[in-house]
Amino acid sequence: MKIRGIFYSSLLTLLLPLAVWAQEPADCLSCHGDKELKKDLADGKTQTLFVEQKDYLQSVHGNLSCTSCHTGITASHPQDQPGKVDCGICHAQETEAYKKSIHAQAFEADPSASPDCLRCHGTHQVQKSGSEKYKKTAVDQCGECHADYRRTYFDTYHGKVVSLGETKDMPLCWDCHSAHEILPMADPQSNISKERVLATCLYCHPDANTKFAQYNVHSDKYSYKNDPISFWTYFVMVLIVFFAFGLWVPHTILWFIRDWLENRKKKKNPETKPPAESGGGA
Amino acid sequence: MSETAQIQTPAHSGQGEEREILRLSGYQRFIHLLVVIAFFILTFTGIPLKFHDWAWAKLIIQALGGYEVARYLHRAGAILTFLYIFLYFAEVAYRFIIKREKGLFWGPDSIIPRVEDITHVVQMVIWFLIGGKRPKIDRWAYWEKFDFFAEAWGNFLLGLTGLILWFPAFFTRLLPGFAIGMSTIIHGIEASLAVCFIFFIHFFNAHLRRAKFPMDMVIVTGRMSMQEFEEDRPAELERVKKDNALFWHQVPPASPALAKVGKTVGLILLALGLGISVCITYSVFFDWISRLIRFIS
Ligand code: HEC
Ligand code: HEC
Ligand code: HEC
Ligand code: HEC
Ligand code: HEC
Ligand code: HEC
Ligand code: HEC
Repeated sequence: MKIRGIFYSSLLTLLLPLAVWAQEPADCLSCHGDKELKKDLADGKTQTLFVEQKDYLQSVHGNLSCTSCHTGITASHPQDQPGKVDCGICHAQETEAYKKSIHAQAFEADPSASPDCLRCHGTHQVQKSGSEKYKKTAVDQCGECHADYRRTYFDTYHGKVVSLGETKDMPLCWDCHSAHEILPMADPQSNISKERVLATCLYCHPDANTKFAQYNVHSDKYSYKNDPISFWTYFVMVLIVFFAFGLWVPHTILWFIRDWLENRKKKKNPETKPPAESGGGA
Repeated sequence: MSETAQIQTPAHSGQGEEREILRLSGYQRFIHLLVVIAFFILTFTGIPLKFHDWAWAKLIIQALGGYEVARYLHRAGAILTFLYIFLYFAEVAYRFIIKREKGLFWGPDSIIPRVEDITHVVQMVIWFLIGGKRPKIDRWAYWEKFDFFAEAWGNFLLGLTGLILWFPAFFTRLLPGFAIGMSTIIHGIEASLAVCFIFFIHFFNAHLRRAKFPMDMVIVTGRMSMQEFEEDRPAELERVKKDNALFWHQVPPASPALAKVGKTVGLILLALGLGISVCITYSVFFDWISRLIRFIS
């Protein structure tokens, strides 16, 4: 009895590591494919441990084994503490760039307000960055935190064209700001700093010049404070519209009513024909 | 001689070999045709860009075959616009310098506004409100003059800002960077204004009002019946009669085939134009109202 127990447990300890290191997604998913699998967190909430197999297999990482990212998984698995995944072990370049960005700084200060790799790419459903699907969602993602800049982007030429479905040559947020090494304008290293913004435009506009690059691609006609020139231009144009239609809409409506009245009169007593009626022609 | 006499008592019958008044020369109608073609190209390739987030705009771009097509068509429309502007001024220059026509820039035959136009406006408003007699309108009505100058002003603004947006890198060598931003705003709003003005106001004044409904064929055939002429332009008729020049204004009717083609095309364009104008108006109002609600709350 006891011997059998030792035998079985040693067999298990021998086999388990093997089983774990050879883990195919399917093995992990035998438990994590269960929608009900949850974990209780310290603050009383629960976290789902469910991994959608379909999403995972369709993602760029679909042919990696789970443990290539979850390197902390041990034989004693559900009892262990797997630890955080480090994307940098395979994507060193992006990770280095990200660490220099304002987002990394802001993330350290407040993880909920600023993006890390997962916020922008997702966990198990990472999409190829060149795909149309990713491009569309990524612009909206930037917009979740930078709503005004998303709005003004779609209010200027590049964004309008993108919105009409043409993303091929058009710059998306990260074509100007870079995706990972995003820095504020004030930082001379930034793609949009006074020193470097011309180079950013030159990338697609070979004939660009300094003043061209000074054009604010986020110009905001609704903001009197940030962009008075656009605001007043907009204001004057709206006045012109009101002027033109203020004159002519009443004119047209009145003309329509008068025509209708004259016609009714004509129908009522058709014998009183011209001259005054046919438009003062005589 | 007998012919003139017959026509000087405008026919009520309106049949047979009746002669009509020639109001627009072939050249003028040709230019107007270019205006129509250019205007429709520019409208349907440009307006969707301004209203890009609306489904109808995306639908138009899809129907055209994608943004790439619209981008080139819009530039083709722009070139056509510059062409007709040139052709227009070439004719004016020809009539003024070579033919030494009088009254091109001043007088009853000119498109330039006159004092009479103000009286006509006042008389017209009185007619709207209490009826009675309409003003006696001459060669060009004040609403036609306004249309003309609105179009000229629109072409100037749209042409200038359009060039800046077409060649931003070139123009910023002369102008500051914010000129591009200003041009974007001016171009978009002026274009929406022009489209809605043409399809709501110009179309009503020229085609949709009762006397002309659904379409005034004068823009296709260049001709107007004597009866219509008398009703619409009494002052011109009087003036022409006084000069004994009526005969010179009269031509045989246009071919019915031309009229038929013109009417079909005209009505299709009319429907398209009204359609997109309704879309624009709806979108602008919806935008402003939602902005207002957000502003209040
Ligand atoms: C026997 C079922 C089972 C199998 C097989 C299994 N897990 Fe788990 N896993 C769990 C349970 C239960 C938890 C919750 C542990 C807890 O409450 O701390 C968990 C937790 C985790 C966590 C940590 C969640 C967190 O935030 O702490 C990760 C990561 C994880 N599993 C990955 C894997 C991977 C990768 C595999 C395949 C190599 C795998 N699991 C196989 C049952 C399983
Ligand atoms: C590209 C790397 C990568 C691969 C491959 C991967 N994961 Fe994850 N996984 C992550 C990241 C990142 C997280 C977020 C939490 C963290 O940082 O540890 C995570 C979290 C989890 C969690 C915790 C619950 C959650 O959704 O946050 C589970 C369970 C899990 N993974 C299971 C799996 C399983 C099962 C597989 C194989 C089918 C797998 N993972 C493959 C990167 C990966
Ligand atoms: C085990 C190594 C590994 C880890 C860890 C890893 N990845 Fe990947 N990643 C890959 C491989 C391999 C590819 C596929 C590259 C390809 O198909 O060109 C890839 C592709 C990607 C792509 C798409 C690249 C492209 O060309 O569009 C993104 C985005 C990505 N990974 C993000 C992440 C994120 C975010 C993490 C951290 C959660 C992460 N990766 C962790 C190996 C890894
Ligand atoms: C602010 C959002 C954001 C964050 C944070 C972010 N990425 Fe990206 N990442 C992007 C975007 C957008 C692209 C697409 C870039 C492109 O198409 O040129 C991208 C592309 C990639 C690629 C594909 C290679 C490439 O350059 O095209 C990889 C790999 C990648 N990211 C990994 C990471 C890793 C690892 C992290 C964390 C260190 C990370 N990303 C953080 C937005 C982000
Ligand atoms: C989770 C929210 C979040 C997302 C998503 C996000 N950002 Fe940020 N971003 C921030 C925060 C927070 C800062 C730092 C703001 C500060 O320090 O003033 C920042 C700063 C910036 C800055 C510097 C400007 C400044 O105000 O300092 C740029 C440029 C920027 N982000 C662009 C992007 C782009 C492009 C994307 C999408 C690829 C993106 N961000 C996605 C939160 C986000
Ligand atoms: C054509 C290039 C371009 C594109 C595309 C673009 N931006 Fe910008 N962005 C700039 C430039 C240039 C500035 C500096 C504006 C200025 O002069 O004030 C800027 C400024 C910003 C800032 C403020 C930076 C600061 O330091 O204050 C944020 C945030 C930002 N952009 C976010 C976005 C987001 C989000 C998108 C996508 C929706 C986007 N941008 C698309 C070029 C671009
Ligand atoms: C990823 C490539 C790319 C980048 C980066 C880029 N642009 Fe563009 N931009 C384009 C394309 C493509 C067009 C369309 C050109 C055309 O229609 O002929 C365009 C058009 C324009 C136009 C013309 C607008 C109009 O209404 O016709 C302006 C102005 C402009 N860009 C400004 C900028 C500025 C300023 C920058 C730098 C902050 C910049 N662009 C960066 C690709 C880019």
